[in-house]
Amino acid sequence: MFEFLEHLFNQRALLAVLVIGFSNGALGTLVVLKKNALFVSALAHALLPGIALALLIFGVLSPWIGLVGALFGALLVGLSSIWVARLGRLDDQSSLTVLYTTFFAAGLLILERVPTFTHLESWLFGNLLGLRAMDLRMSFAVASLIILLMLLFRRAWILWLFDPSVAAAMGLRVRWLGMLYMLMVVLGLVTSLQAVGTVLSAAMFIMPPAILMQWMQSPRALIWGSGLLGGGSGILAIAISNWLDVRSGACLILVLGLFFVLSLLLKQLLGQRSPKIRRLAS
Amino acid sequence: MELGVKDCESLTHLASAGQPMETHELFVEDLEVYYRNICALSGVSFRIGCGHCVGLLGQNGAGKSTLMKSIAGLIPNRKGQLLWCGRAPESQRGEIAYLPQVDEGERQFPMTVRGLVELGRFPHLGLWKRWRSLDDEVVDAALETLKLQDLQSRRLFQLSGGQLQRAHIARALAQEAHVLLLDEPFAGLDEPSQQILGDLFHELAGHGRLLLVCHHDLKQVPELFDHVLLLNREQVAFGPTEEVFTPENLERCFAKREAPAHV
Repeated sequence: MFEFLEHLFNQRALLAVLVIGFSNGALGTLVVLKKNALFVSALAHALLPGIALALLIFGVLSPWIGLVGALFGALLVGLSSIWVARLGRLDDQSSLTVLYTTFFAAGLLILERVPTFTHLESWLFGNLLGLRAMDLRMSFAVASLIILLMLLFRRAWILWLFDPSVAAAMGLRVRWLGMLYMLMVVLGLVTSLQAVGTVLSAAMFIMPPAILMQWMQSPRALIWGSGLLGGGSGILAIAISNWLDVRSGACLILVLGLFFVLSLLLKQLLGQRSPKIRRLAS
Repeated sequence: MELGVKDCESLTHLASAGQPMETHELFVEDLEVYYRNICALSGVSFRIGCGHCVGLLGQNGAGKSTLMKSIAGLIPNRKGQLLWCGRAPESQRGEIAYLPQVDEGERQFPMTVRGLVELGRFPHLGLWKRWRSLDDEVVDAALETLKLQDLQSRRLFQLSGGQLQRAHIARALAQEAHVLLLDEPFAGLDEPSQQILGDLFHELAGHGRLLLVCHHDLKQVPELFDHVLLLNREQVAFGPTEEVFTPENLERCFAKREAPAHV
């Protein structure tokens, strides 16, 4: 059953998905509690032209160049969304959709121009089994940074998530915290892009906390739980995708989706039962 | 442990010893508050010591919330003086607790009542100081004052509106704040919960806190507040309720006004 672990690419995929799953699952708790899920999903698409431009300029794509490209792309999105918000009379959702689809389309066109470009598919859908050693190193570095920042400011995050205005009134620098949060999300997204690709990357953030939300009593428990669930289901997904010979990224999101349904059903079941049990007890 | 009373008395004592700026007094003079460059509120001047429950009255857009946010240090752009104990509110974050209108969405937040109250310790602990047993004691005392001990491990979505509002006030007490700024705390509460909350306000004021409360239901004003501040994008009147809460003042307070002027 574990013979697939003999291959180096499988070992790498397993390590990567564990690390990325953990850090992005934990970070995803902030996203979900901030009610930012759609924005992160849009941002994942909007990062593509930045990465594509970096690819076009530098010719080869090392993970670090990809990271710089993604940060540049995120900056573009941020600035243009501020610009649209100032000038336009459009609601947030519509303007966000206009922006990210435009950016995504631009990214596709640029990618087609890149001479060494062969893996449009792996950008769109991820390629866990194609990871190189340096990809893995970058994932480790980014994940460690994310977890470090989450631990370092844990008290601030919770206060800020619960109510930014109360946090500001208590003297927390909410503007800085907001920017730090955006930076962490962009960094996390780049690692998610490698694992599951543009289209599905937001799911690595959103699904673990969405599954656990109703079970956890504190933000801290939710953060750790989501990290463990993200990493754990990543490993499960790699095993299943090897066994069934299907795409690992999609497999991961499907596993999480299944957990989500199970969690809902279980809650429903317990919710219906508990009054009965209470009545019996009394 | 009665929170706040002790230090309040000691400060009054200091004041009588010839340090008037140390008294527990909110001092506002010729205050103008700006959003970007739009003047949202002007001509506000009043002073009030601790131990009072002040009603902020006015129609929507009259500047009630603006004044609150300004006192909470959330709108930096202002002219005139705004001092608590002789110092700017921004320099004493723990002293002033801001309690915005309860957002129903926050009930989904994975947190217990105790967790919410513990947030109040932030001004004392900052980002990195270790949680001490003293902090637990303060949180316990705040829960006890608000009669929330039995509910402390409940999640927020399991609370009634009145209980949630009390949990927020307990957070302010855990903060050891002397000034409580409450934005529409009675909104959405049923009659008994309103009664409990009103009694609680009197109790807190009696123990030396200053409460500033945005409110729109005029019927309850005389029984709730000993002072009122009437706003209509500028100060209409301020003073003890029996003197200021008059039909003439209210008419001016609720008269229609033009949209804010650009500066």
